[in-house]
Amino acid sequence: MRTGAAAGHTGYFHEAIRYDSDEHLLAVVLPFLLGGVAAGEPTMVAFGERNADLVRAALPAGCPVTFLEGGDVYARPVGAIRSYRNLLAEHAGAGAGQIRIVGELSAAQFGATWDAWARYESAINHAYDEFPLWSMCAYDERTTPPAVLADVARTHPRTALPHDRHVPSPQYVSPEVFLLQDRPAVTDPIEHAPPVADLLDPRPLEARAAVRTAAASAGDGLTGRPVDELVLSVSEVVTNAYVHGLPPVRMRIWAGRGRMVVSVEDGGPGPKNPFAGLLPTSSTTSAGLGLWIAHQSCSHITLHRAATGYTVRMTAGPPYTG
Amino acid sequence: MRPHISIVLAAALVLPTLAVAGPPASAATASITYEAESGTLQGVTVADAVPGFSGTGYVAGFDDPADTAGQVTRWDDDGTADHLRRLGRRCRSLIARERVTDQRLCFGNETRAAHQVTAAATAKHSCWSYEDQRQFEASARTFLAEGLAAGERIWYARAGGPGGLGGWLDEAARAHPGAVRFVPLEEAYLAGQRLDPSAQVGTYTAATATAVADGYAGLRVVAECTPLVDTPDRLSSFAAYETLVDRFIATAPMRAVCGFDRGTLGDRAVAEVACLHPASNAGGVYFTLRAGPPGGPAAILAGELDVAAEELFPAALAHVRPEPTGGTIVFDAAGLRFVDHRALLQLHRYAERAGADVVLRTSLGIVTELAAMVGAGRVRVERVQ
Repeated sequence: MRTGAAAGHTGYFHEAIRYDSDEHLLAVVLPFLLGGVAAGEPTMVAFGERNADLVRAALPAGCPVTFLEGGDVYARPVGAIRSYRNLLAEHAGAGAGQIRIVGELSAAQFGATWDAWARYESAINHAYDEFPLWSMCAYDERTTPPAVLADVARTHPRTALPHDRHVPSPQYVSPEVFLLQDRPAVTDPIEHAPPVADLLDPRPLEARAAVRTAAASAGDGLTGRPVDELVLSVSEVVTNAYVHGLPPVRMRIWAGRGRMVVSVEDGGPGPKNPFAGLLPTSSTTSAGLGLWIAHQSCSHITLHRAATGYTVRMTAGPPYTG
Repeated sequence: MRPHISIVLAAALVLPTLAVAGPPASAATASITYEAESGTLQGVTVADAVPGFSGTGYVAGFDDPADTAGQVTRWDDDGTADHLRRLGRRCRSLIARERVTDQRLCFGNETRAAHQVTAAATAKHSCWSYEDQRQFEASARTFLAEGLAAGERIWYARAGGPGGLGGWLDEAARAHPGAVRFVPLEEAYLAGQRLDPSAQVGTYTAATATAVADGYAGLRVVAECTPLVDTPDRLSSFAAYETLVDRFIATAPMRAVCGFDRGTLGDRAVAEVACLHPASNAGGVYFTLRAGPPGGPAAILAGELDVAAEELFPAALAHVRPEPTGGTIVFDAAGLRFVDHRALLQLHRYAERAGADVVLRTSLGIVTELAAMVGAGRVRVERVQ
């Protein structure tokens, strides 16, 4: 059974909090958490350290609210979707009538990698919709860039305000629309230099060899796991370009500053499924599975649709955050 | 017959302006062979020697961005191949990293045979896929002559007589009495219409022992096997035999080359047997699956498994049929350089059917995570260095 503002709602009740003071944040979050506890619902906080401490201090002693370890859950968007879906399935399976979560991203995610998180915020409207979830995502209006706040408005159907007010976001668009729109790409500065490799129509085998070689060649090159992950991602994306895209396929590699960026462009329009890569697929022959693996295996991934083709850009090592 | 040209593709390396700067590649890598037999030279020339490199032939003169040497294949000594397409300014940074020992390249559309010899030199048991019988015979002659020079007994097995090698074999037999034998394929392999895998391995076990007892360094065989794999049924029997004989050759004083006419058989059939050999020149085959040694891991898996192996890998599993021991099927995958979710799911399904778990002994770092992502729950990883 649903309670609070989500009473009578089916599926995911997704809200943003746009706060400008600790008081504002607590005025929304505390009643939300206490209401969940009172209704006996699994009630969770996925905040960074500062705001987690703030909320913890404001809650009554012994209040059964779970504080999730923030760090890893929000390391990669698709990993977050996967972790949360597992968590939600567990609670729903145990008979929870509603699950409440309030979370926040770190300010580091509002820079050049924001695009991936904007897609996350949009995709979860669909990805969590099979669960009786009520969640709030908190954004500090004082420090969040305006472009990010604009995406927050487009990806959250509602905004939660103090005094238990919940207002629809007029800018909201469905993920099916949002995810297929072409979004501006933030160029990584290492892309301003000539690529260390530029291959036309590489086969997956050649693409992997090129990534390994470039990694071994770069002076401050990456080794080990990030390279293995990038090799896997590039292999799947190049395979997709052949199987699902259109020629020509162009692959470029940039390396420097402790990271590598690989772009793979084909002449096709990109996957029709807006959730390709963001959600697992049971089909092993669709582009979605390879793209989903790539999303989990690189530190940052962007997708661009243009009149000339479709480009997937993957990063290994700590991504440029702008 | 045209002369073979062996060329090292080091030319790209000696250009003064390399695209990639960095520490020199480790010289620890063993023999690496480059071949560009299907390459088309554009703005570059062939040279016999390039200072600073140890090879015996080069593509030289990459001085224009448009210069290319066509598609180049890099062979590692474990028999795996990387294809570096359109070697030229774009890709030469790749090649630059391979500034290591003993780079050899065989080059030219007419010299397919030459590279086959090179490939065979790195493995005891090789698969040669060929289109031109004369080229196959030339390669076979070179390979067998090397055996004679090394004090080995040589066999040449073929259906329908020795073909173009008849004269050379007669000559060699006169020069090396007792060391040379032509074996009609029908006699060597076929008891009736069907190949008996263990009987055939028994034949070679005995022949190798006899060669050693007669004072030879070992037995070296070239077998033209096309008629043994020309139907799915025969291919299946032959694959079972290949798996058995490969295990014997791995430790015995024997070397063998199996030749297959891809014009007759088609690429797919050749690929299906090629991946059971430690080394092969067949296009599109980037992995090998072989039986493990007695008492050891069930199978040895090497190379790269990606979408190109989507049909071939299940076929190879069906041929090699690695068996569980104590509930696990252990794969020595130390030579595995890449494995994708398709292959992991195939291993998972194979394990399911065998009612066991697959254990991959690999140095690859992220296989456990990949298996978890796609639900290949029966595939476990044991990390080895």
